[in-house]
Amino acid sequence: MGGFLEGDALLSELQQRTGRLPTRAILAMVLGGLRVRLLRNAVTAATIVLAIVFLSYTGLANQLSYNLVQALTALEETTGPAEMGVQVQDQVREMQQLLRYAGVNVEGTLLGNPLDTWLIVMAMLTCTVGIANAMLMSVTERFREIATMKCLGALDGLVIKTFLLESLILGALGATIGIVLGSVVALLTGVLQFGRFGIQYFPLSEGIVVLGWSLLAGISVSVAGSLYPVVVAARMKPVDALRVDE
Amino acid sequence: MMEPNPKSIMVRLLDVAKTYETTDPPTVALHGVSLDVQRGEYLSIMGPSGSGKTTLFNMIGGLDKPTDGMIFIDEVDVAALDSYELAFLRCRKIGYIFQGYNLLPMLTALENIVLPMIFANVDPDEAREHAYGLLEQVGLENRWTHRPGRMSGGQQQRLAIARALANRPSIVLADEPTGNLDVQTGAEIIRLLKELSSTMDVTVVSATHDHKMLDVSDRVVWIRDGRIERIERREDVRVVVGSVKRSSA
Repeated sequence: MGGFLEGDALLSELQQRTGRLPTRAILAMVLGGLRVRLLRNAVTAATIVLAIVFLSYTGLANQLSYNLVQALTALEETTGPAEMGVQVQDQVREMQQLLRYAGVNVEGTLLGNPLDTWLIVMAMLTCTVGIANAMLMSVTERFREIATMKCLGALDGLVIKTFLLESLILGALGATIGIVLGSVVALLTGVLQFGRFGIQYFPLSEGIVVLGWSLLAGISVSVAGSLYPVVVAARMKPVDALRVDE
Repeated sequence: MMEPNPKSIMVRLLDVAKTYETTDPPTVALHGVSLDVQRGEYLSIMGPSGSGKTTLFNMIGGLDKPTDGMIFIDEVDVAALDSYELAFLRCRKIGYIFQGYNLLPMLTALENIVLPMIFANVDPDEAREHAYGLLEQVGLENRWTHRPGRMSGGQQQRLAIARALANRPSIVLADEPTGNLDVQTGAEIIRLLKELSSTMDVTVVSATHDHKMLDVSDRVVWIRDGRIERIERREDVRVVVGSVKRSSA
């Protein structure tokens, strides 16, 4: 017993296609939903922005220091002290001074000291938890929306896609703003600390790699944080649509 | 008395019982209830809070599964359906109307009606045309680009009615449709629902406190403490403002 039409291939195929939306429609709905709760979503995205500013800034600043140290070492090794011109001597002295003030290890490390790494890891984790919290609140607040979609015939898979896409967009947006701001801060502090050397040795190709990884980190953090909330949303029952707001 | 034609029964409940294990001790919401909902009839379920009214409503609407007993919607045993089939059922056979309207805030009026049709694989152009036709029937055609946030309660419920009818369902389930509306708007909604259900030959099952609903119902099921107290037909009940008079005998 059961099954609307056993053995009817066409109807069975129809059932398989019920409750789904074309991707463009999901995207439109998600964007519309983000716009409806713009301020709340901006605050959630701000979590990612801050973490990614920190991440991208640290990466760029460390790369700048590394470039400076490399350049300094190269200058010192190129010619012996006797053949060094006064200008080069001055430049070497200046750079050594600036690097010491900046507290950079003159041997130079690319990724920064262990303290930096620890701070970055903690910042990312805090961000992930923050996203998870925000999305969980959002999902539980929107129980009626989700349950209503299911009453209209939406499958659980559609609910999952909707929320994952939402976190993907927030993550990408937040991370993009984060890497832009992080680059600006890195450039400004580079100039403040090292003057013209801050611009001369500012990482370009390596910088793009840093920013690429930062963008990926932002999106990953957003999606990772939303995994549990998405499961909660998918598990909601259509009957929850009848619940009256407490 | 003649055996009712089984094909004329839209929903059949056989000895349906429901116990909620979440409380301690478990709550028995329904004690073996049996009920037949006739095709095309307008049925109201009335009862105080905690009477099992909502649980009975959920059973009829395929929103919950019984602990015991069987439920057939359009001759199909609901308990045997998997998640795809249940989604199909909710999409095409049943339309829902809620006390809180439950419209999607980010969609326009037209899009709210089109959505369930997209779920039902209707061609988008056809869907939009049909949706606009429904908006005309509920008097909201000028607001087809408006989002629910810009509408009054009565307008939102009218939109919700149009949405419930989008996929030409066999049953419409209305949970306290007038609960959030003032007396006059509520009366308009009841009138609209009755009118459309007759025109479109749709079975309506409504769970309600609203005595104005009695006037338009073909039958009223009174439920108390998880049991059906009595079932009245419209001819037997006359509503007088402020009270309910019953014909003697």
